[in-house]
Order: sequence, then structure tokens, then C-alpha cells
Amino acid sequence: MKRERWVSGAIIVIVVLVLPLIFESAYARHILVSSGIFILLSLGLNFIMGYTGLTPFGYPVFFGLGAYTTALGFTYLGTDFWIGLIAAPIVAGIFGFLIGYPSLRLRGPYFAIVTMAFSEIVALILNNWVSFTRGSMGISGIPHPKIVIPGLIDFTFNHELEWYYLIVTVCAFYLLVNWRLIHSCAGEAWLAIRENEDLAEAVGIHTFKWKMISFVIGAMMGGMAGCVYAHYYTIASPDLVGFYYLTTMFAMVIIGGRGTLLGPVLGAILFTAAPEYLRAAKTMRLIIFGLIMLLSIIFMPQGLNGLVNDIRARFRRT
Amino acid sequence: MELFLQQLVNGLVIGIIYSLVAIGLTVIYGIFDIINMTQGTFFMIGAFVAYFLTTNFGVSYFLSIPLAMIVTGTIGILVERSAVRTLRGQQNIVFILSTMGLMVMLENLALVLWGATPRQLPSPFAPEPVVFLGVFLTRQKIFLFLCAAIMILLVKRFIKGSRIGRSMRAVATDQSTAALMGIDVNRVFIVTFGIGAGLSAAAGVLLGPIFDIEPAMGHLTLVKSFIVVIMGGMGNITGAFYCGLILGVAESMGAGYVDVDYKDAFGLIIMILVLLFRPRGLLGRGGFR
Amino acid sequence: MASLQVKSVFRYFGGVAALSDVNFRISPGEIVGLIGPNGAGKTTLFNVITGFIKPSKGQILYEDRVISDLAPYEIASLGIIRTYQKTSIFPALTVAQNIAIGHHRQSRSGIWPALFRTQAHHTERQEIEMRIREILDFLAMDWAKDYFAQNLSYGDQRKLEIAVALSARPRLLLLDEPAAGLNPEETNGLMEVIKKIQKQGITILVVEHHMKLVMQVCERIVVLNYGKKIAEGTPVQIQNHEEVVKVYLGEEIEDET
Repeated sequence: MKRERWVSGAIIVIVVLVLPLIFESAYARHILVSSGIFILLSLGLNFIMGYTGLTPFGYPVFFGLGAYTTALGFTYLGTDFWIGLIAAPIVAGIFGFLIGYPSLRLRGPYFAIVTMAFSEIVALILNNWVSFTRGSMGISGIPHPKIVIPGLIDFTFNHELEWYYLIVTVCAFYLLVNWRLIHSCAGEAWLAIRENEDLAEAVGIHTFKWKMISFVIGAMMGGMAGCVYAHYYTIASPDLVGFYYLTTMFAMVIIGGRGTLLGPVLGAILFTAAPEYLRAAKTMRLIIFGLIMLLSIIFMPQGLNGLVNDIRARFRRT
Repeated sequence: MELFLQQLVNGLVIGIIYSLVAIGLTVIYGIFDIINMTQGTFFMIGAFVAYFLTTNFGVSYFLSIPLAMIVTGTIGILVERSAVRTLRGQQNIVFILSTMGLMVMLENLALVLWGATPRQLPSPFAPEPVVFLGVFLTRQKIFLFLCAAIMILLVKRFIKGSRIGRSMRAVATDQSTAALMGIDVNRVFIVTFGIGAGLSAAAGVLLGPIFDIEPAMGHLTLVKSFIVVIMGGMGNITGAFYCGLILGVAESMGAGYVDVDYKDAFGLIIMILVLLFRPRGLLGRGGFR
Repeated sequence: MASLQVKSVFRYFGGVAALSDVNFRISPGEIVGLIGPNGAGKTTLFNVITGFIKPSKGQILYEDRVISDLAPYEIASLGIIRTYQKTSIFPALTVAQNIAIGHHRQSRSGIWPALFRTQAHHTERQEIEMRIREILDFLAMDWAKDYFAQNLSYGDQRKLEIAVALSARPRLLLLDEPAAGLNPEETNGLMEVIKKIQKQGITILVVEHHMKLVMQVCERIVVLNYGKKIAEGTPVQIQNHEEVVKVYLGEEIEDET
């Protein structure tokens, strides 16, 4: 059994490394990078929603904050991608703490709405504090990352190919962190909270503390994703905190299969690649997302990941 | 003083719209224990139905109100059938997600069908404002307020007095017992969603002539009605009524005296404060009443 | 060893007194039963003891320390662990995971060891593995280790509840109607388990309607009715207590087959 795991793991790694060499067009590679960014977001949202069982409707706020942290850092302090990569999750984490502290005392639906309220407030500020944030037009001209070692290397991540490998590295990092955290005592605490919060409290788990930790970590993941987004698309705008991203993220996690690692990845890839491939306009995309989200909640509560598991199980029987 | 009165009146007008939509939301919560994300969509659909009825079919504005309510109410029942009934017995979160899926679908469908360009729902009243005590009021606004107030009174009466109303209250208290006592729970569900959708649609038609209508207009209304329902107590109709007015006035005052750009933030901040310090609502009592 | 003291506890809900001047002690190592008709306040008392509800008046003391102002998880960390009347487990997780969660309060390694996979982390996981096997063995449930909790039969789920509680290393164990819905064979098994738990030095407070279990397993019994304590004593004393008999007259007392 273990050998099977190593083999399939190796195959996946090879495929992932080789993928952009098969798809040579800039457009195809762009789709891959774009999926990668959404994988980061989906994993972050899944961390809060799939494992701890909370429904943070305000989650896009961390994405936006991450993007703006690096954008504002660049505009006013001249910071670059690498600093942003560290600063963005820290800022997002701080906001995660500030938002989480009052919100996490509340039960499911109330929590969802309150986080959304915080998110709307941040969006309002981003839109209206024009002197600082440039308002609804956002901040543009954010530079691509560079690696500079004077005399040796002067490399800029200009093309989709480089970006692909950068994103893959970040995704791998996210997956590693996710995996290690979930398969640990901390992970058990979060699962316990999701499955039966009262019982978790009754066996000595400080549920508020653990919900907060989960929320902050999820926020940090969203923040880092925002930084990556900002330096790839070179802009940060208030609509990152808006409805399109909220819906897309949620659809990806739910349809992909929450509470698993593969689910959000599948959801992110499928729902970035398919609409792009079908040349669907944003609105058509959303209609289909909404419909599939509804159908999958009713008929496929385990999501695509559940489907994959069913297929795997059927394979084993034959 | 004039600014104060003007803002007060403006606030009450927009506030009663919030109340209408919020009452629909809170009734659905009271019966189903779910948060209906399509509540804002009903608002939008109502306005558009009225728009098409009046513009394309020459129906009178006044007639378009009940017609829009009926059409939207029917859509509401379809929503219940598809996104709620199919998931009976699952956790609350699931319904938020399923109604969210529907909301996204319907809203973007509207966008595709009708485009994003804002339209004008024509008002049957003369646009010249009436002046009273230094306050400017259009006849549309006066009509809006009276019409909404009457509807709210009727709904309260209905729920208190009629047989279905009593069945609704029974189901809100304890669904399984109500079913055991012979109450047709399915019928109650249909009526509830119908009322919820209808009220929201009416609000859309009433407000339509004052602000432009476009497919995304339901968003902000949804958020505002959440705020009202949380302030007033989930399931509390009287609470939703008063708090809708309070929210409208608070926003109006904030816009007038502080900063009009951040108008929407006031309601959000109030809601956050209420949830932190009086989670059962300003009036202190959640529960269906 | 543990000792609990319920001291003049009142609890009001609106105008109704769910608990009214309840007083009793539990000595270390005892098995005490808490009985009374439905609505007598037994579960409310459990909720007060474990911190899910605060008493309106009065105090709960554990080893002479006031605990009635602590949060539920803090009370649990002192070793006071409860089960629930309605089956309460972690449904979508395996039996092994359920038991591991029970162990959580004793874990010392947190996020950082988990992230960096330190030796401390590995050692702890091994400890948890051992503990899971220990407990499954204790309850004769080794076969169930990888089953999902929601797929177990009702009787096995109730056993799992006790497994989870034991995993939290209770010093005072509160069982809320553990026999509810069990068939006679399972009930006998439960009685054996309760006695086995006591032999490990754990103090037990049991709420039960199943009279045979109560009379055979408990050393002392406290009787509640309408929130008030109406009697306290040995099983024999309680069986012959005038008011207790009156309260139960007309009620179906569960009979063994």
C-alpha cells in the first residue's frame, strides 16, 4: 500500500513539473498560474471552513488585505514581492485576530454575517479613502518579483512559465503546512470543534482559542495569496474583497469537497480552467457556479473529492 | 433643525423598506431556522417584474405591486422547493450555502437577461415634492411609507389571527410536534417563503421609482436586512419593523452629519456592536413573535 | 481521587426554579446515583457542575475549590468529564480519532511541533496510539478502531461516548443516562464497565432512570424532584423512602427481564 502511495505521488510530481512544457502557449500557462492562485485561496478557506466547520463569509477580506499590504508597501515604502510575501500574511493574520475576536463568540450563521460585515467595512474604506488607497481604481504598476544577487543573478519573474513554478512552490508549501497541521493534535481539536463543539469543550478543548487559531491561520493563507495575486496581475483593487471572489472561493471549496486537501485543489483547478476554456464571460461563469454549487450541496455533499474517492474505491474492488 | 427633520424623514422612508425586507427574512428564519440568502434577490426581481409590467405591458404601477408580489412569491416557493426542502434535516450552514448558490445564479441570470444598465421604474406620482414643516417629500415617498406600513400591519394580523398564521407559529416553536398535531408543515413552508418573497418584492416595487433598478441592487439590501434582523432579534417581526426604521434613520443621520460616503458603514458597525453586547437583539428577545 | 460539593445551588430560567437549594457531597471513589422524574433538574445540575450553565445562586466546589465560575473547558481540565443524554460523539471521524480527541487536554505539543514534526510530536502521537488501544481493550471494542463513529450501532456509540470520556483521564466522571436505549445485555455490560471504572479510582456520578442499574451499581443515591433534593441515602434507604416512593408511584419503573 505504501509503495502505491510513493508511485502515485511521484507521478503527480512529475506531471506537475512537466505540465507547462506540454502546454506551451502563454494563455494556457496563465490559466495554470491563475488556478494556482485560487488553489491557495481555496486551501485557506477550506482550512477554516472544512476543518473547523466555520463559515466565514468575510474571508475575501484577507485576500484583499494581503494584496493591499504589498501594494501599499510598494507604493509608499518601496517594498517588493519577497517582503510582501512575509508582510501580507502577518497583516492578514492581525486582522484575522481583530475580526475573529468578536466574531468567533457567535454561532454559525451570525458568525458568517458578522465576518461579512467586517469585510464590507474594509471594502468601503478601500473604496473611499482615496488619498491612501487610490479608491476604486486600485493600485497598479505593482512590479513582478525579482531575484537579484549582484554579479551573479538578475532574474525577473516576467513570464507565465516562471510564475508557474513559483506558484507550484507556494502551493506545495501550503499543502505541506495544511497536511502537517491537520494530522496532529491541533488538527484533532479543529475536527472536534467541527463535529461536535459542545463535546469538544466538555473534554477540555478550549474551543474559542482553537477557533481563533484556525481563523488566523486561514487568514494568513488568504493574505499570502493576495500578495501573490498582486504581483502577478500587478494590481490590487477593492473588488478583491467583493462578491465575485467570495462566490468563486466558496464554490471551489464546496464543489471540490470541503474538509479534504484534494477537494479545494480540484475545485480551484476545475473552476478556473473550465470557464476560461469555455470562454465563459464572468456572469455566465457565476450562473454555472451557482447552479453547480446548489446541485453539489444537494447531490454530492462530499464534492468532487468524494467522487474521486468513489472511483478509487470502485477500482480497488475490481 | 431642518437638516435634522429632513434626514429623519428620509431615514424613515428608507427604513421602512429595510423593515419590509427584514420582516420577510426574519419570518423565514423564525419558521425554518435558516438564513435566506435570496432575500435580496426577491427585492430585485420584484422591482424588475414591476418594471416590465409597467413599461412593456402598460400595467398601472399600483396594480404592478400585487402582481410583482405574486410572481416573486411564486419564485420564492420554487426556491424553497429546490434549495430548502431538498436539504431538510441538515445543519443550518448548508442552507446558507444552497440559498447562496441560488442567489448567485438568479442574480447573474438577471444580469445576462436584462443587462447591467440601470433602469427607471416610472412613478405614477408627480415628481414635485410636497413641503411640510420645511421638509421635502415626494408623493412617491409618502405612498411608499403608507403602503409599507399597511402591509406590515396586515402581515402581523395574518400571523396573529389566521389559521395558517397560528400554524406558522406552531411550526416556528416546534416543527415535529406541530406535524404530529396534524399541521400541514409543507403548506406552512410554502406560505412562509411566499410571504417572505412577496414582502421583499413589494419593497422593491415601492423603492423602484426612487432609486435606479439594476440586477445587483439586491446585495446591499440583503446585508441591510441582515443588520435589521440581528438588531431586532431573529424571528421577531415587531423587532424587525422598529429596527428597520432605526437603521434607516441612523444611516440617514450619518450621511447627513458625518460622511455620506461611509453611510453604509454605520449600519454595519451598529450590527457588530449589537452582536457583541446584546446578541439576542436590541429589544432583548429573539423568538418568533 | 476527587470530591465534589454541590452547595446551596439554585438555578432559575425566567421565573421557573429548575434547581432549588440543592446540597450534597460526593466523596472520592464513590459511585453516586442521581435520580428523579423527568424534568426534575438532573441534566440542569450536570450542566451547572460542568460549567455550561452558571448557578443563579450557590456554588460548586471541587476538592474545596470553587469551580462554578470557570469555563467548561477549564472544568474539564480539572478532570471533571461528562457524557450526554443524547448520544454525543464526533460522527464523521473514526473511533480512533474520537478517542484521540478525548486525549487532547493532556497534549503538550501544539502547533509548532506539529509544523516541524519534532521528536516531541512523534512521541506524543505514539502515546496517543497506545492510549487508544488501551481504552478500546478496556471496553472490548478493539474491532471498532477504524470504523466511522456514525456507522456504529446505537449501543456501540454509547460505549464510544464512554471511551472518549475515559480518554480525557477523568477523576470525576458524570454519566448522563448512559443506559438509555440499551437492551438488557448491553445494560449489564454497562454496569460491569461502570464498576471497572470505579476500580481505576475514578469517582462517578450517574444520572439514570434504569432502576436496576442504579440500585445495583450506586453506593449512594440522591433524589431530585422539581429541582429540589427530596432524599439522599443508600439504595435500601431510598427504596423505602416514603416521599421517593410517592413520587415514583404511577411512573413506570424500568423492570429487568
